[in-house]
Amino acid sequence: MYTYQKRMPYPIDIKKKDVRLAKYILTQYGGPYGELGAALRYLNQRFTMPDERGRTLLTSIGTEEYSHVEMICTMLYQLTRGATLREFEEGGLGGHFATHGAEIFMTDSNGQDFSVTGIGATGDFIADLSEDMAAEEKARATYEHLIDLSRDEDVIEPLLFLRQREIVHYNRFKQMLEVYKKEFNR
Amino acid sequence: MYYYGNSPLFFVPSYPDEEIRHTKDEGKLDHKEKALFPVDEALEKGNAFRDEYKGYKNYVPVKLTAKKEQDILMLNIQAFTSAAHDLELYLDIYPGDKRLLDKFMEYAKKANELIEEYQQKFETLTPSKAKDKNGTFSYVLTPSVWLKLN
Repeated sequence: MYTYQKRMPYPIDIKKKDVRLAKYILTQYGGPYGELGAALRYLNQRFTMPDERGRTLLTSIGTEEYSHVEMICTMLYQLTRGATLREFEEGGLGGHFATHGAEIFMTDSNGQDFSVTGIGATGDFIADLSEDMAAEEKARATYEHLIDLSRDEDVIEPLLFLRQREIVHYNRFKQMLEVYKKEFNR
Repeated sequence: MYYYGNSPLFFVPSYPDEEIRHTKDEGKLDHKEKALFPVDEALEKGNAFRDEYKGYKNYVPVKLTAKKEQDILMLNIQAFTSAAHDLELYLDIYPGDKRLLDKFMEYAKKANELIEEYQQKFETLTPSKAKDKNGTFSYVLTPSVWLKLN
């Protein structure tokens, strides 16, 4: 079961409105390498892990990814807080506004709706854990692009934190994969 | 890691000892002893393990500071919970690492104490702690995370 605490894993306090940057960061909400996809991927794959270590690891990382979804949404909210219709248009989110108003929605930066087609679920723990490592690397690369696109320290700091979490998760998946390969002679 | 909303314990080990899979390599860890960052630095860097941290370009993670007592306490909660979570992910794979398990228990205990202290002094973070002095359900008085700045 899940319980919830009203707190952030890492402080986020973005003071400057920036709709264009919000448009870019949207990809880590509803884009192909985003946090929502990560959470769904791991929480779905955990049922076919061979023992409690893999099941627990995927549950724990999948749960952490949900807290990252909330961090990304918080950044989107703070970057667009109080933005006018004009600012949405000038920031490249006029099309988003047409459908969703000022509400956050799970799309990538170009307005493509969230899709689960890129989420691997093979029923094979070696294949799934290998995919998870790749997913973490793709998310890391995306965070690096977003850091490159950002000028605001209030945005860069949580992005650096989130990028580092991808590195940590990659290492855990790699270790789990190596342990299983050895023990299951795969 | 599971969070129990109705218990004073927010951190408990993910699964009890007897459920740990015992392998033929039991007791012989095939990995090096992990050196840890202090918890505040681990939060700033996003990584508890010294040998795994990889920075990006010349960016240096900011030193996280606060002026108000409430914000300082929240930073401490974030530091200890993040460090405990990082160790938990590691222990999921290597549940026999006794040194890291002891460290995890130390961080988790401290995190639980800080969360309790925060809720007593400032505001509730969970519905189970939400009856205030006036008999009001105070969970709705705590701002949502995207509104709360620290």
